Amino acid sequence: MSDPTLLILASLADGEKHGYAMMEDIERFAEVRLGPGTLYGAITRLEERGLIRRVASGERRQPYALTAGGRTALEEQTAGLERVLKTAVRRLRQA
Amino acid sequence: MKRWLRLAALLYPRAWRERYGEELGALLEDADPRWSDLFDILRGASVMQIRTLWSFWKIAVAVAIAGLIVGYGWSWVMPKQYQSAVLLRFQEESDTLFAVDEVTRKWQDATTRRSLSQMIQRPQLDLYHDLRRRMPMEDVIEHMRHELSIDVTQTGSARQFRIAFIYPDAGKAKAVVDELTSKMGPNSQRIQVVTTARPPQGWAFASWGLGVGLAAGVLTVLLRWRARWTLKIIGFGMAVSATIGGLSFLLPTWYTSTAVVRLAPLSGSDRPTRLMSDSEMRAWLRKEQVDVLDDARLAELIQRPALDLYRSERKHRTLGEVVPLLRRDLRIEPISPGALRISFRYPDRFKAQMTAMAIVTNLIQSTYGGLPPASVPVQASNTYLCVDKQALEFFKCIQSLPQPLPAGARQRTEYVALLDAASLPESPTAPNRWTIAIAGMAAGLLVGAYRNRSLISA
Repeated sequence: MSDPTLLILASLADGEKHGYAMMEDIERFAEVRLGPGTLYGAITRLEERGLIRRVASGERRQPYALTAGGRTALEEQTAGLERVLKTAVRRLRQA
Repeated sequence: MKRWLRLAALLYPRAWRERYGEELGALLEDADPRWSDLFDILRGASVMQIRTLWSFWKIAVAVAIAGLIVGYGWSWVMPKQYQSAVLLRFQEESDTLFAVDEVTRKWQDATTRRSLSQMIQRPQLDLYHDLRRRMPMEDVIEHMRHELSIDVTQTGSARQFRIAFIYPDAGKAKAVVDELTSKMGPNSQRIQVVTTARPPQGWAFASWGLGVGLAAGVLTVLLRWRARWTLKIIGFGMAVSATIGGLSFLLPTWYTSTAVVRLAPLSGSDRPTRLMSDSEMRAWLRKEQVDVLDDARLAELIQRPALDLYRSERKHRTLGEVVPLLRRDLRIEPISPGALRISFRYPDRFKAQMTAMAIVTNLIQSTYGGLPPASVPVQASNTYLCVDKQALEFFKCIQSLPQPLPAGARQRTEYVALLDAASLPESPTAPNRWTIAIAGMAAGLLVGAYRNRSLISA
């Protein structure tokens, strides 16, 4: 669970955040610290794919939010992960 | 530490910094700096440089490398070639220059158009079976000449000749070399015969693959970078190429007939003379061209009823103005030691052959000076023409001599021998429509790029 793009999408699922807020949030819920280069590399890719968007603000700390496409992509990925998790847990119990 | 991180952030591409630089700077101010962050930013900057600046060229390079690998691999799929080679040593002559000339003379006789044609079509050999279905015989013979070679090597005081032939069938390659060796004379000593599988020319195929891959890669890059602009100029190039290629069908078709003669200077000695050197041949040619290609002789050729050359040009030009056209279409050039190629191009292939034949006859008649034309034979290879005063009586004798010639016949003095009679061309030599179409494509691409230059910045 260290894919930076998935972690960013998950971080933005409850509302818009700027870079540093995303970094702190991810460290808190996933216990993964994304470096500044990794974080902004992932932000660049997500914005290019249209999964996140900049939120208009006049500040240096630029907030981002999920787009509709980003929300769908996150739902698909979490559904897939959920299936994998359920299968793994069930099989571990049966073993 | 933060200072180092800010400096490292300057390594991101300018366009990226304009977009994200401010907020990255704010993040670096807020976050607790670590040494691992320095590495992380350097890695991120490198990735971003590649993505924005080099990503297009990475595609081009990747496709070119793929082409190189496919080309090299393809060379191993192609049918194997075999090279059969024989090493010959000749009985040493006191005059070593003469010895080389003698071998060259025999090699020229063995590889005339007629000799090779007979060898190719002989049922036991049946060479280039598939190629003969697709190509005229003239071209097949030229292809075979490329695969044949003779080299002189000096080992100590001994002079050796290496004859080689490359062919996809090892047995046939050896049979051809054996036959050519048998024609090199009884005083040749066969030292070694080797037939080896020739390794595939991997690098030649790889070079082609690299070239095609690079072109495909650049095209891919251009399509990704400016698809509309690229498609527009490709369309323009194809349209110009098709138009010019189509117009080339309106041009007259030219056929080229070629003949080859061998020259040896007069010596007056009682044995075959050495071959003409390059400088001697050029001097001889200058003199003969003055005689054979003078205006009166060429005007006679043009008006000869059987030829009737440049008829449409003669309708609105004087004969004096048409003669330079014949000179333009005629080429006489040295091609190998003592050998001269005479070629003539004309829109009618039969007239091209007849004219080349007439010029060769004129050349030989001119060489004979006072000899009456009736006694000057123009025949195929191995019929040597005798010219000097001592040989004049002997010449008549040679014509009636049985083959092989008796020992006395060797005393004749050779001057001009017809190696290849004027050919009847089967396929046209001009216009080369592929070259015209490719040139049209190149010109169209340039004009198209110029006309659509505004789209590059769009």
